[in-house]
Amino acid sequence: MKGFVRILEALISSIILFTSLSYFFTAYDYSFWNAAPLRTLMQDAVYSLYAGHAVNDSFYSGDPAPLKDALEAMMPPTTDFSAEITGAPPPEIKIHCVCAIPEADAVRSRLGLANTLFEYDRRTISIIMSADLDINKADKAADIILFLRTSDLAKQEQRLSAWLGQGRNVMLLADLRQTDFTNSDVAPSLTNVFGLAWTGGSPGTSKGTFTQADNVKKIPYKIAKYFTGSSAYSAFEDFGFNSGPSVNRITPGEGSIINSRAGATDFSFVRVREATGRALWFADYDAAASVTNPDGSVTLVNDDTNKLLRAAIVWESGEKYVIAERQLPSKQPYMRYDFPGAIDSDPYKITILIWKAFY
Amino acid sequence: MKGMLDIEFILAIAIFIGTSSFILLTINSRMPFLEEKSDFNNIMAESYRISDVLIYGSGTPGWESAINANPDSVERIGLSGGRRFYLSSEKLLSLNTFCNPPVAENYVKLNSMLTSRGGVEIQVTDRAGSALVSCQPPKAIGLSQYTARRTVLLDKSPLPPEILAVDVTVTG
Repeated sequence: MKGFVRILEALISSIILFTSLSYFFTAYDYSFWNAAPLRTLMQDAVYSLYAGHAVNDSFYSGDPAPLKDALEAMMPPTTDFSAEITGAPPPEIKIHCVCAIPEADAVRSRLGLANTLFEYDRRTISIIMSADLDINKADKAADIILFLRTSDLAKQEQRLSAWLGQGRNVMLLADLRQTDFTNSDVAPSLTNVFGLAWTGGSPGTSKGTFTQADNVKKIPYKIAKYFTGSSAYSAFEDFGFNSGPSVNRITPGEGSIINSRAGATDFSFVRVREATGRALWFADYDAAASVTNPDGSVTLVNDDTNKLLRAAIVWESGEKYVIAERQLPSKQPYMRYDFPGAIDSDPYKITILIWKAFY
Repeated sequence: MKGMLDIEFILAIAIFIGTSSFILLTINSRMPFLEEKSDFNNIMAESYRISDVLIYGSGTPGWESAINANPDSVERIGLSGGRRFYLSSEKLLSLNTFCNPPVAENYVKLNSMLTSRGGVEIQVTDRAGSALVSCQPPKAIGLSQYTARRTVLLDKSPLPPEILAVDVTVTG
């Protein structure tokens, strides 16, 4: 019996030994070459298109289709990709106004568009507007969701925060009053979404100027660049806004674009908040005010503020130019490639995400 | 009982031989697979190396005018026009003339300048699919092959640059 147990013991140990040995003799054949050809092809394609001016030509023409077609022709047919350019003004900006159509038209008339276009640094930017009073019908393809009344923000904090989290951009073009900040329905949207706070102090002036327009790392620099690049004004312009003891007394801080100075207290007239998406508040102003010149011609008093509104909209659009948009794969891995480029004075980043659609 | 082996000793020898055989057979069965993978990886690396030499290198100075008259005076070729990612149309034309019609000596010379292993095939096409350069071996070489595709530009100054595809196939 003793010998039998020993034989059984030896057999069991040999089985364990063989099983454990197979673990050490497994051949791992991972090779980085699986991904390298696709990555190299992607890098070559983007560099060639950039160096061959196809990318910047797409900005000038405002049509991403030739660039998308060129990329598709270069990539293997079994791959899929999405491509976008961020950091520079896109050729087309879509705004959806949560307002009536005549109100949207009034905003549009402030922007000084020729048909839908205006010129910025030798290229044209088109602004397309749509409108609907029902916030549930907000256009999902819009770059900016625009509000003209604080009452439209009532009980919308969660929705607006979710939009920001999804990378969508919201804008409020309206005067603010202290009652808006004491209204429990509206205040959460103003404070949590737009990052605004009411402040007291002496009566404010109606004039505002850029803050930090010369600091390239800050948002005011970009808006000032878009403002000067699309108008005949300089970055030292004084802009007119509605102001008074109980209007637009917003605490300045990080994100202030235009500040006024009233005694020892600063007030903001334009403030932004950047999360995944962007939130912009722009104080209202008298867009219709005009003066008649001695020669009979009429000059808009706040033409510079109109141009500032346009420049702020360009930044608020997210500065994103979509070349090819595809739903990212949920399971298979994808590669990302970022390439830095520039058009005139605007640096940008080309981002391509590519994956194998079929194996 | 003298002269007879103990059952435990026989079992130990059997397990030892079994283990040793298992290890040797496992290694032996994996080797061809791993060697094949390794060879293919080398071919891929070689094709990308050659594509880099052609795209970024300028070659022996003046090779484009010397190669068709006196191939032995050329040590190295490169298609770069001087600017990164831009190929010289003059060099492309010279290389295509050197390769066509296919002459065995010319192919051997081209191959020796680019690689010490296997065979090289070069194809440069424009976006319409027209071949600007076609250098192919007179007969098929090797069993496995890999084509590295690169995208570059043809310098057509003052005209806008044109996008080209450079396919370098290495067989081994």
